[in-house]
Amino acid sequence: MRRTGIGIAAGLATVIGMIGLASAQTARPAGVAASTSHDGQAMFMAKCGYCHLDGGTGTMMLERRLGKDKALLGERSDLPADYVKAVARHGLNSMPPITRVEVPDEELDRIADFIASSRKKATGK
Amino acid sequence: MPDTLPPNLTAPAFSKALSAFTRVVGAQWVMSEDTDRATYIDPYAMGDGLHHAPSAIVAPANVEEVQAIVRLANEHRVPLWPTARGKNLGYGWASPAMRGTVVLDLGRMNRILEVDPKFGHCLIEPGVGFYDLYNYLQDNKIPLWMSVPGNAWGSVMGNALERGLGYTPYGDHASKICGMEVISPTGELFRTGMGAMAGSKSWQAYQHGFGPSWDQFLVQSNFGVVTKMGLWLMPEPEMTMRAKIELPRADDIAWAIDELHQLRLNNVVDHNFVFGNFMHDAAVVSQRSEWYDGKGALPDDVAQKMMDHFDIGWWRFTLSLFGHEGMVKAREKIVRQALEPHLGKSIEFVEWRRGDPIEMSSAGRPSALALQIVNWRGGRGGHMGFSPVMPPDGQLAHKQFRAMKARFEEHGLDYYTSFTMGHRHINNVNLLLYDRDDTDMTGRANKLFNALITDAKASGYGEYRTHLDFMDPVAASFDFNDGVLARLNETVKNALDPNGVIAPGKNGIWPRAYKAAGPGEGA
Repeated sequence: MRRTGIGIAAGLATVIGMIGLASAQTARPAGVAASTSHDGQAMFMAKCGYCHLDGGTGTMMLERRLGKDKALLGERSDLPADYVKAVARHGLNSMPPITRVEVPDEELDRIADFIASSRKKATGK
Repeated sequence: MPDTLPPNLTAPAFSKALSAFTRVVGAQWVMSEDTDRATYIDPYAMGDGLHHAPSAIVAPANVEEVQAIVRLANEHRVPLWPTARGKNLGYGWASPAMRGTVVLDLGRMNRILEVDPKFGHCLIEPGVGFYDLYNYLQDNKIPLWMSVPGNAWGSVMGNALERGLGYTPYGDHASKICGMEVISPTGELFRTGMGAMAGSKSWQAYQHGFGPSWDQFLVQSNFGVVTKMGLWLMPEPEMTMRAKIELPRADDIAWAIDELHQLRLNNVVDHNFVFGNFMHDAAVVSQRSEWYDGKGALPDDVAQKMMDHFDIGWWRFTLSLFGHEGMVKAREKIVRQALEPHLGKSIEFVEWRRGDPIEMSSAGRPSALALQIVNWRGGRGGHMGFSPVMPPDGQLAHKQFRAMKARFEEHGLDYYTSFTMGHRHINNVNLLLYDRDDTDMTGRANKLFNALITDAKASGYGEYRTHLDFMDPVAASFDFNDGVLARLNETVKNALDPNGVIAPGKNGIWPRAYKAAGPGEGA
């Protein structure tokens, strides 16, 4: 996957210099129309990428809770698909729930299968 | 989650209405299960948010379906709460004001219908998000810039309809609306401005049309369901310059607001910007527990340690200059003359010219990073915005800052604020950050919010936007001539929407049919 955001690895000093609201920047969800793609990875990028790519707010939250090696959702393979779906629909801690209008069941199935898969082609960056 | 019905309806009557909705949009897009309804409850509410629980959700795919649903809502007396993408973070999410209202989720209507590079405008549907439009402009190499809010997960149209703010010269989003397509509360399709003429060639060119202007009438209102919006976009400038400026002392606000007001009023700086305290950035890149475990508000000495650690000031703001190089350089000189004598040092600007990486520019680029603030206390974090409008006067801003800080401390909450500089006003955006699972804290936050409404009113300041929980008291604070504006709004509402089906209670406007569910008769 593309690296398009400000990397957490770039360090706190860099991040704090960039997060003024006038210049807030983070990873860019892929410009892929998920509704026309059957690719779970592309759907993950388009629908979850707001927060769960490198530098995203979800990635920051996961790093704080679980450590750096579990921060990038797109790189993990320890999450069962049903768990992913439950978190998406119910939210978790500061993550809000995702409606079936925003991500219909058939799309969430593919996204969850992608996240659960241990055969990812690339990383979640 | 308890079953919920719209007021005045029996379960069989409501079931009949949902069946009628289903015949329009299909079974997949009428949702009344608990699991679906729960996704529309404010995830950052002070309490459980269930007092704003919807009874169901209906999600049309096009304007014809919206029109059919609104007509059926009138026939079956079902109240609808239109939402674009439902990301009104800090103000109630996608929840309706009145418990039992059916959410009319317009997120499936997400087409970018037109972008005109020559005339600098777009025509979009409700479900188009900031990322969608940004990607479209980038992918098609269209030299137009968007203005985006601090948190850009939501809808371009929804944000403009709530008078959201961005930080380019086009940052007063409601003021850039030019023409709408609307379903009236009784199900009529109409277009505003020049679009009221069939075959109009200037729908997105002129905001007012002939006769009364309706666009602003539909902002923060419940007078219709907007299905298309024209919006002006900013031509890519030749050059931008950007500087992040730190003010080390809390009391620096007094001189700074006076100087910045002159720069804004005279359009030397021609964009809104956040004049925020250290918490803006510290609450994103760190958590409270890293600094302080005490129950009360963050002490000043701890705050100073944070500022020292991150090498940031008590106040921080980013100024940008946009335009042709000669104009930008002339403005740079004026900014330096105004601020550098106070700062005692030279301002460092980052320059961008066409062709340079966009990251170096002052273009609005979408981000959801600001949402990280809800994690300030960890656990199930919540936030709510209190945002009165005040004059851009240094002494008044200083007085307001000191009074607000004292109120936050009195209620044991950390003071997070911005004196966001508009053209001729300040949006004093304060965020209450709390742990949703700490009932003592959410109780204090609730008391604080009510105290702030009263304080602001006493100072002559009213909110520009508020959370669902506080729409009635904020509306009541606009009380000139015994609250005549509220009566006027309700007269209009009852005339346009005799069955009161569109967003009862939105911004404190209650139709006759649901008055009892709101503040009640005579309130």
